[in-house]
Amino acid sequence: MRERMKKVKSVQYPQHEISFILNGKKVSCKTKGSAVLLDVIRDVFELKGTKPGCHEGECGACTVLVDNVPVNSCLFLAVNADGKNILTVEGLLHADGTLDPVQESLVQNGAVQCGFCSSGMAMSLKALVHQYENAHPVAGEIKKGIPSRDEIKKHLEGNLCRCTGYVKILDAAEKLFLNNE
Amino acid sequence: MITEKKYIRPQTIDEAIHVAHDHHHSFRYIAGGTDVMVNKFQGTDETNCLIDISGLDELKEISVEGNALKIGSLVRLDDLKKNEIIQKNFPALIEAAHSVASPMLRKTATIGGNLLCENRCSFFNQSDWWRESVGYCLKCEGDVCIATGGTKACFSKFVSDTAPVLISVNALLETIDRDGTKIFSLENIYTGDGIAPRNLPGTSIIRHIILPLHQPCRTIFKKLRPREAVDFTSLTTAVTVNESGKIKIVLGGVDPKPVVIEGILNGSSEEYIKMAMKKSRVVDNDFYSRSYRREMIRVFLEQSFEELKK
Repeated sequence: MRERMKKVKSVQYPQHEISFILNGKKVSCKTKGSAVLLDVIRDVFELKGTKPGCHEGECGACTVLVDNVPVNSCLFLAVNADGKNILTVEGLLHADGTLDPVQESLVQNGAVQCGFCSSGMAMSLKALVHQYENAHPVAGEIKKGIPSRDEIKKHLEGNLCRCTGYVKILDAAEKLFLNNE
Repeated sequence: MITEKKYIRPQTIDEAIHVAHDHHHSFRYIAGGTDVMVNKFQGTDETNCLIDISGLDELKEISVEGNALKIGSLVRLDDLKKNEIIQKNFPALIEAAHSVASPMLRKTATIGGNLLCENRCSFFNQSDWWRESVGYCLKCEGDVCIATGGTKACFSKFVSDTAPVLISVNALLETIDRDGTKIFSLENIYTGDGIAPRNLPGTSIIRHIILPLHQPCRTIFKKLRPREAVDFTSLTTAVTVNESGKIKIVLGGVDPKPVVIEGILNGSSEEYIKMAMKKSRVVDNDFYSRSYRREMIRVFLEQSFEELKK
């Protein structure tokens, strides 16, 4: 095992040039072909808000929005982000330093405990807000009104939280949509 | 552990196949990447060239040709529900696609990838350290199957959820390779060998999944798993009955390949249930025990037959 790891570390990887919009700013970098978006966001651009959880697509802590669609950045090849619009939890912060309504609602309703899942949870909720907002509809998924608690549950089923028991998170999501109305 | 030395992103199918033949000794096609990347991180896939076919737009279309619905292999699982023809004719396919993984994964995972999803076993889908400490199993070049203690066969389970539904409605696959396009019946590509579960040549690309239209049928889909989301299947059943009363039962998650049983609806359902339980080679390689999963075959099929009679 260790022998094999040493061997892998000594390999020189060919680099690929990618450029994309990260939280509203155009950025570019060089990356190896098999690098995932999570590693590029955390290691190259040093945005540590996106959390590495399971690296298997199970926990959702690494959720980011790619063109307003939530994806697990731990399994999303960085080269495929080329030309796309990426939003991470840092991008939710408004220019005047205030929190996004999604974050505000999570904080106000006690939906944050240890905080490890919170950035992924916030991004998933942001995607749901996008789906229900006419201003930024996701293609083919424009919805009117507000989602039911079951719909929110269905939408958040890929985000695991080991602290809150989800009740406060669902409360926060419901109140977010009620306040938006 | 990622061992990639090369990443290639072809622009056309021909180019992709050409590149694949050039690297035929060790390469992997990648599209959604939700299965491939996990296997790479865990070290169960050690190929060293990635051929990214996610840019091949011609594989992302759903079209109707004569009496057939052609679903491109790169259609995302989440996008199936947006197609009205699928909604009307194959609602069970949408149900199956929506039972796969989580909402985020379904936005990148493709239907072709789901059909070719690698067989799973609780002794195989683990980190390299885990597998080294337990002793490598047959599927990762060891000498013994840890789940059964045997040395001859690997019983890793077949986990695709869309495949049982597609097989139950007699889906065909159109594949393309250097020697042209070929059409297979979907159920014939699965070998039943846990180590090499499919007999498609590695360099072939699935172009379309072809479904027969204008053959009214009803499908009941059921899936057993510990949680309502994310988990892989412990048992998937799809029971389809067509207008003339012919039924096709397909089970996933209980054998290295999908278990297929055909018959007529008015026959004794007990006979088919017994046949299904007998044909499934269930072993203790899952969260649920072998006996529970065997018993659940009966429960799911009885429920399906009841629902079909309504």
